[in-house]
Amino acid sequence: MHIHLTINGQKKRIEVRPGDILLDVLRKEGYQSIKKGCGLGECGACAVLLDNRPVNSCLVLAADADGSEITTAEGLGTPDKPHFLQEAFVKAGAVQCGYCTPGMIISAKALLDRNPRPSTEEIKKGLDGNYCRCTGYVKIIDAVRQAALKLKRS
Amino acid sequence: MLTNIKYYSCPQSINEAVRELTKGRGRYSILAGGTSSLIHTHPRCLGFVSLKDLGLGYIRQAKGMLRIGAMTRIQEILEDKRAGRLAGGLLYKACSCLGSTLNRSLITAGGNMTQIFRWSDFPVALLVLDTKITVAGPSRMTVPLIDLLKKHPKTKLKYNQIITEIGIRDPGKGYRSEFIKFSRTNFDLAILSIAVLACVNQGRCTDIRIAYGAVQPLCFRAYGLEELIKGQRISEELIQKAGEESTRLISCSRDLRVSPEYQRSLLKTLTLRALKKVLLNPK
Ligand SMILES: Cc1cc2nc3c(=O)[nH]c(=O)nc-3n(C[C@H](O)[C@H](O)[C@H](O)COP(=O)(O)OP(=O)(O)OC[C@H]3O[C@@H](n4cnc5c(N)ncnc54)[C@H](O)[C@@H]3O)c2cc1C
Ligand code: FES
Ligand code: FES
Repeated sequence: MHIHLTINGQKKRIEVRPGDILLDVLRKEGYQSIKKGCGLGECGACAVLLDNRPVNSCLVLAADADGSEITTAEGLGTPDKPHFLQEAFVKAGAVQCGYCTPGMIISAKALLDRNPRPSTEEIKKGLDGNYCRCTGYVKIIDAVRQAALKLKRS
Repeated sequence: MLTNIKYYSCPQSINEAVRELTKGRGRYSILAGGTSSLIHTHPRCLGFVSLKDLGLGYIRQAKGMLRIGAMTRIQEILEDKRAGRLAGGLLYKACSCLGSTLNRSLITAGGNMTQIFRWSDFPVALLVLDTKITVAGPSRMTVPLIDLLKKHPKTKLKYNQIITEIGIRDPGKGYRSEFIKFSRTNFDLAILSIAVLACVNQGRCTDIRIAYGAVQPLCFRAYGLEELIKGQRISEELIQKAGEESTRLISCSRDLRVSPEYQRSLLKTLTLRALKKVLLNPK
């Protein structure tokens, strides 16, 4: 069967099987920023924006996403022209191995889209579905705070 | 990839969805948020019938009822002002501690109500409210939630029955509520949860409803405990007595995650905490 997705603004027609999971389909399509951690909706490494909602792509059946718009970390910025959230993560030293980073950035983007001036508690809540196993959370929360400040200034 | 799954359909009407499920004769499963059905796929399940295009994602208010479509995501309930105000914020409290932000954008009201686990949060809050469930299938019916939860909804509902709506009557002014989920972290599963809804008039408790989650395999109302408090003048002693009695009146079933002693002590502590909040703090 075929599904139609708009991924990072690009329309795509993709062949999938009824049992395919969105996470695997997106990675196969080359969106390698999306990581498979637990496959159970717990770690957040696979987070994407699905019609502007932050979701675990490991818990979405690809067929069920037909017609949706998807944003991955690749769609936010490039190495030459990073998104202000990506910049903030680098500046704050919020990245070590980087496995969790794309998922963190997707959750942070969803949070700032809804609430451009989050408190520390709101940042923690917005990122509550994303695990980081090496950096710890202090610098990640700092990065989101700095990104929110930048957003306010601009 | 789910290798068993050979079929997927996305019906455009409730009747069509019922026909699809009937055609599957129990081998097609309903796909709502997918957070349980994709992880715990039954080995006999050969296909999914998705509810996403049935127009069941809504929250409406009419004639003193809040109507929540079965495909409404928990995050949408959390962000809805009318749902947030209902019964002193009871639904808001239950939804805000249900899974993570990423999970809540997927989990549906209908899914959380049907695939009930020991630690499920949403049905505990619904139990103390006057909640009715609308079910579509070969025939349509509306049943009180309390009746639906006499058995596990997954066994009570037939394979071609779909929950379409959750209707909640606004208890009105004068009611206060509390929902407490006890877990190691906010995102973790409940080790014990309690929902209380009560009305106090001139120092007397005129109505009270208490429900527990994670104490037994299915959440339940604590009628015995409610009777102890209903009609009584509110005092510290009454609340202390209710806390003590909770461990006698409520039987806890074994839970691998906690010892029976800890569970009983938690039951008493959370009961006291919730009752104090609702009965002693008018504002
Ligand atoms: C990491 C994680 C953490 C979680 N934490 C919590 C938590 O703390 N508290 C909590 O309460 N829940 C929690 N959940 C959610 C819970 O475990 C279930 O996954 C969820 O409630 C299922 O809802 P769904 O919409 O995803 O349904 P699905 O997974 O799509 O469906 C589940 C089952 O319900 C049936 N079903 C669904 N909708 C209907 C309907 N409208 N009519 C009839 N049958 C239907 C389906 O046939 C299916 O068998 C968590 C889930 C995950 C993945
Ligand atoms: S891989 Fe999806 S949440 Fe862990
Ligand atoms: S940077 Fe390594 S897991 Fe977060």
